[in-house]
Amino acid sequence: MALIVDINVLLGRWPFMPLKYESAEDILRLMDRAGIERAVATSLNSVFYYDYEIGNREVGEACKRHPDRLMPFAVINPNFYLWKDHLRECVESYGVKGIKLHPDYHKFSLLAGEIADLMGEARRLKLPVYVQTSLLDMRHHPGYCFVPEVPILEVAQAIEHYPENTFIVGGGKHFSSSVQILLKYAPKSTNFYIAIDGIGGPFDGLERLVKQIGSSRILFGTRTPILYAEALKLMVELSKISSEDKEKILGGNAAELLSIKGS
Amino acid sequence: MIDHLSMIVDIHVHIPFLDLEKVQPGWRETFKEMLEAGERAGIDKQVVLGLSKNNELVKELLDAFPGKLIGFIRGICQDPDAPAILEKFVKVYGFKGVKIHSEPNLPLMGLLVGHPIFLKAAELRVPVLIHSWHEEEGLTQEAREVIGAEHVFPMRIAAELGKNYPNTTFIFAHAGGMWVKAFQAAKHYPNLYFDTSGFDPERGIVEKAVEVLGPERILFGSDAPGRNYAAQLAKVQYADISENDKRLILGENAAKLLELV
Repeated sequence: MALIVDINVLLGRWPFMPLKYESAEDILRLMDRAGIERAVATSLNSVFYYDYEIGNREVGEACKRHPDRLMPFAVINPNFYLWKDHLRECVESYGVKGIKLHPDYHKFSLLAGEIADLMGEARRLKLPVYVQTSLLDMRHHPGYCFVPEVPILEVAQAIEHYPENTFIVGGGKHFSSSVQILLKYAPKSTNFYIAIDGIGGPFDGLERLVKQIGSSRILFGTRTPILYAEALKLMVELSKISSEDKEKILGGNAAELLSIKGS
Repeated sequence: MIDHLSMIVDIHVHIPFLDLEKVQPGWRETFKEMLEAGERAGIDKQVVLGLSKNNELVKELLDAFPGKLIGFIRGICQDPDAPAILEKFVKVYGFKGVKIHSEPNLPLMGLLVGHPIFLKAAELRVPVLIHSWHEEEGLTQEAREVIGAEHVFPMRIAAELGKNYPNTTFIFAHAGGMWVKAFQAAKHYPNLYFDTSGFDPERGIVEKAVEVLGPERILFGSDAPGRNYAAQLAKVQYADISENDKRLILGENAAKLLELV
């Protein structure tokens, strides 16, 4: 059976409702249920805690306990002065495989001048940069905490502005529509992957995307535990695309991108 | 995941138009592909809601795919003969319900104050499915713009429908949008139902619906073609609820409501 790699599971506490699954062990149970072997883990606590570094350390330690199943990306908030030191700590202590950005909650622009430094560090460390445009469809944000998602045009401009960086883009309301905008405004760029956790539509959205850009730049991500992992897996499995495309999307592409052993 | 099901009914499917007023070439072929995608996911029957006033096209689909589709009429609320039109589509064409959405110059808020079609639906024993995004307090202007202010209405209005039309069955689409408040407002009105259509497969919403309302007033819906059938089904199939609850939500509640058996 081909390797299945989830590019997007989240450890920690979702502040808006109890999801029952917060620890690495909880998430591994959900991965087992969905038949997912490996996953990239990042921290919800790094999104919502004031001291975001705590969450990355929690995830780093959890991944050390389960090195055969979980690998960490570091959530970096460039609004904090010592982000570079913290990224170095995450690389040296936990072997992070990438950087995750939440510009919506952390209130920064991907086009800000200071981001050039972050992109430079990512290139130097050979880390992909995962832009989560939102964690939840904005229409389900509570009124007291409505956070607009990252504008997809801003993502497109960043992808074009940093052609030597590798991006992963996922999330957002009606993400398939956002992807179309991304492809329209960054038509020549190939330095990005699409994570499918927002591709909930249209009914044949994944098939259309494969026709447009091929399967090599599409990654299986589930946003577990906020979303049901099985929903995204079934979407891939039941799509009218080739078995080879399914294997690449479900794990082959991620294994190559992240140099996962055994691939 | 449940192993055995009598029937899966999708209560919320649209004709594949992008433009509400304009018939697009190839839509019939797209619909056939939709139908097949739903069947691959395990769906037995799909309730087709027109977009805008294209109810004759829904009838055409019912004739083209006998036994697979159920029709709901839509877009007639501004017609003074709306109750008679509904009666014709139900009695002559076999439609099973009516879909309510904002119509030109008639926002949902205006419809929800009351409409003769609600009494006719009760008389004909067919449900009224309402596009819903219930919220009035607490949303910023920015949020209202994102959601679409014309679709936002207070849940107390919905609850009043339950009280004012006790013999009419109302189905609020999309789990009411702001789902926790919607379920609470509807709790004490047994004629208020919700469908699960049209939002990402978020954990916890179906579970909360069952907790607040019980499993009998929840109906599976996909919102295809805008949404993926399999991903929408998973919201129910993998929810942390009992196997019996899943059977009810996926098909048995709809079968009873639409008198399919």
